Amino acid sequence: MAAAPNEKAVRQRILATEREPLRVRIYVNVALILVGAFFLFPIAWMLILSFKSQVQITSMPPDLFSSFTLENYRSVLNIGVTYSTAAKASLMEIKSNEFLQGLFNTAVVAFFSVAISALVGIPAAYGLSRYKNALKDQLAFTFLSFRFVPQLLVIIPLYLIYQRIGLYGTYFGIIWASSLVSIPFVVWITRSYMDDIPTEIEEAALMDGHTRRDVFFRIILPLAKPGIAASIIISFIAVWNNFTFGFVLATTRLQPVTVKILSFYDITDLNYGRIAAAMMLATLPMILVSQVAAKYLVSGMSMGAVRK
Amino acid sequence: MSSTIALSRIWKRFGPKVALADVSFEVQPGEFFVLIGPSGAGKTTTLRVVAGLESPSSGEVRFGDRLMNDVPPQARKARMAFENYSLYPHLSVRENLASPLVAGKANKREVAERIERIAAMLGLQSLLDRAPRELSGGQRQRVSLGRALIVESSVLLLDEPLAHLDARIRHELRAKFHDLKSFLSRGAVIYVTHDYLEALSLADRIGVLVAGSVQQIGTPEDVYYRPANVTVAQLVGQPAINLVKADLVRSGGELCVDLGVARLPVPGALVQPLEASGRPRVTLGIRPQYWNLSRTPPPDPRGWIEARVGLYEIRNYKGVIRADRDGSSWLALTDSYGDTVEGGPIWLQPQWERALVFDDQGNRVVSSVATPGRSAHGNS
Repeated sequence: MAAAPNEKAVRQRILATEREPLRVRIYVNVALILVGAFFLFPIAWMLILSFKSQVQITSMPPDLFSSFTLENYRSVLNIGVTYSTAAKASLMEIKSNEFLQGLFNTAVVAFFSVAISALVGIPAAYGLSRYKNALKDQLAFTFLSFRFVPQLLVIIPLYLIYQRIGLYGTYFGIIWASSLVSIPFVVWITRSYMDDIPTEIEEAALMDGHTRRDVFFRIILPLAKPGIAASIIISFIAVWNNFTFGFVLATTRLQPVTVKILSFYDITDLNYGRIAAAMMLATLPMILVSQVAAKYLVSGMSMGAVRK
Repeated sequence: MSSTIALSRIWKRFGPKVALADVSFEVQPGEFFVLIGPSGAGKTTTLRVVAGLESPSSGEVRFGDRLMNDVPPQARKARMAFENYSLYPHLSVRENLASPLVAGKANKREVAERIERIAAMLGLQSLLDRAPRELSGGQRQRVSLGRALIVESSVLLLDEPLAHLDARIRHELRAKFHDLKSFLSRGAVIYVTHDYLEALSLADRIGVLVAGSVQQIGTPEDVYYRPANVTVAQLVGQPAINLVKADLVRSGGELCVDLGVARLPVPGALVQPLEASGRPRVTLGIRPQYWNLSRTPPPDPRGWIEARVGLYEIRNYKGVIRADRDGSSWLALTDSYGDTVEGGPIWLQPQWERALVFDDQGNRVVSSVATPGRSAHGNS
């Protein structure tokens, strides 16, 4: 058999002939830089503020690039900061503990919501993708419609129901409500990935003698991995960012970090740097997760398996 | 473990569309059965019904004595190679080949041994650690075949395994199938193709499927020399058979076929069966290689059609002549290239002992008398 044609070389040649002229590429890149700057500006601004003293921030114009300080982080985490009065010191210690408790609460809620969403949503996506059912599309749409309803619209009835059935102020209650946010992401994104997996591949596996369960675990799950990863990241971010459910359905002890950050707004002392530091700490997990998982967002796994 | 595959009275409907209409046939253990038909004829659907990937709307599928209708595909122990290969893109060639063994819970040593054997047979040794997307079409085809063959089975289903491959690799793999036939001695094989040459060269028996219904089941010789009807005759053979509408007439005490443009007396051996058929209108089927040709006026012009060479080309070492006369045209094959000129005169006479006669419904009423050996399957 002749050596397979060098696919890489062929592809490069195609790319070379299809490459846009220089002028177009400059426009495209300038546009990309502008969009990138637009989205990164708030994070960059927050990052800079979090390393600045209150005086530097409030002077006009703000002094952004001279000296930096870790004071804000130390005060948020309550590490070796001295305050003018003992009262102030104990107040800040309480705030710091509250903040860390909030981070922990958010982590718990996000972890379990996403875990439940994956356990429920991935099999649901498979079913919706593969099995014929008269109600299939209505069902899928119902999942999606959870996303249409403004949370503020349902939060009051949900609050009343939760109080009555004893879910108010429990982790389970918040996780349950948050799952309603994350399940639709998992179902819809994963389903569209599974729709792209040719049924013949599954049929081949059945003919190999694999059970339905094995086909799901050996063939479908690995092939849908990019979609599953993407949906988990997106739903993780959605749950992590959620404010409404935590604000209304949780007692002080269980409030998530999004709510706890509010306690740094304070009549006696509006310290922008400290708030920025707290926000950075609260945002960091999301930034890390999305960067680590970015490679899974690339599709194209099933290329070359089936002749189209 | 060997069993007969038996389909009886299979109907398959997709909504209002009838895909299979009353399909019945049996494949014996050790038999290489080829299903042939144009695309959309229901060949793949038939295979999928046998595999259990489709359930028939009515009718029975049996392996041996066992009714399989309600047995799911993974429990039928049938092996199948798909037309589009259907390799697992996330697994290496080795893992693809091992898949049926893993499903059968084979131990590690057996898996390694079998992979080695099948890879040697199909020439895949150097590709075992590649991913399917790194393989050429022919290589994927062989992996798909290897996956189907790695576990012996009494039922092997092959869907167009040579389609989509370039001519040289087709040839190579077709030769492989001849080797495989001995390898598969005990299993019943159903092989689907739209290529009649593949069918004629590989099959023990051929089933011809057109528009969801079985036209004929028989040996390659049957299908080629004794086609059941015009549909089968047209499907098998390239260039396609000449179908000529004609009337049976008596002229001067002789039985003749009247083609409109010419009146040809029928030789003695055919008179009796033609008269017995009692049909005034027939269709003559004459394969392009079964004409007597003359470039000069024959000594006795009776029984010859005089025509002009409308088109002449060399195809696969044969001269293909389109002979035209008054709006009718016939295809003829010739081995002598030089003496044919486009636009020149030509005389044709059917080789009557090899002519096929069909009634006005298209069913064959008289077979050719002689059946030459398998070497004469048209040009390849």
